[in-house]
Amino acid sequence: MTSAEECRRQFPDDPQILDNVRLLRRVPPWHFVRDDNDGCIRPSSAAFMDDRDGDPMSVYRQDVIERDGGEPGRVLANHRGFGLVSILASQVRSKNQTVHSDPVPEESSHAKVCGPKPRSTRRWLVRRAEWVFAPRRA
Amino acid sequence: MPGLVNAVDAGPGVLAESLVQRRLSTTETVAAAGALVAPLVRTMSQESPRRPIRRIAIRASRRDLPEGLVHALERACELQQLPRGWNSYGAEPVSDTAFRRAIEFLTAYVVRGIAGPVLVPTVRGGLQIEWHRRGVDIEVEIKPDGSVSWCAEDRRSGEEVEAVLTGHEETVREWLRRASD
Repeated sequence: MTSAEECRRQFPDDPQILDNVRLLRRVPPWHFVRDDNDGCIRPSSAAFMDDRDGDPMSVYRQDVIERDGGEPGRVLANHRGFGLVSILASQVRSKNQTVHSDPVPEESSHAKVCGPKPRSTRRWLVRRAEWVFAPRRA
Repeated sequence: MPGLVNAVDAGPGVLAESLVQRRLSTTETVAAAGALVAPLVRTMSQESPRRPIRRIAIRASRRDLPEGLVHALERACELQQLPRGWNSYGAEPVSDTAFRRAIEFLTAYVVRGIAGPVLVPTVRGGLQIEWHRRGVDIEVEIKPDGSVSWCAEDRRSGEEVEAVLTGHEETVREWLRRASD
């Protein structure tokens, strides 16, 4: 799923997801990289690739989690060692991505971020992502 | 794999061997004498009730391998053990082709004087090799089929480059020198 047109057709942007909604993305420990330029541990741009077989990138809506009375950390349950980053819906939309609500049985806040993600876009996203749960060594 | 073990001369290359073996309980790593002149990587799996045991042999011809290279090789071996779904979103395991290509790249480019990189897996079974230092960001992506592309950015000058590796080998080396002490 790389074409913006396909994304608009198959994973249309949901205007009910406001621009200020924080989208959460799990980051596996293998994607933590030391950035000496910024003096921090941050996710690799590889953490913002689409999922396997071009399936759009999965995220979790913080607004839905909070509406349920939950905490962002619930999406890290059973994912020991993982980190969690957030990025605003407005930020991903500004890079030609749709934000599509996609609740699944195990997580009502699940959503998809669909659109072409060339390296420049992934690197742009990485620089704007903020840790919600940072790795312990960060 | 007795044949492989017998073929290996446990000589000066032991440095690489011991460092890689230390972290990989399910991996037997054998380094033959020498610095990684022409990398030879053999991987093979055998049935096990728990999971396959993979044997990785890296031939080296010198004892004084750059530490950054040894750590990168160690990391590559570690990442190759990741199971399907390692990122919780259905990621593919690192392909043998990408792994071998990564070893070739590392041994050719991470020479003495070049800083050690960070290696990360990609969701489709590739590997990404990164440097983020001295105001420079470099990413080399090795796809599951072994094709290699790279990009680099100098944060101070704003200069950016993105290309395939073939035909740009010397440019990549220049950027790596820029990111190194």
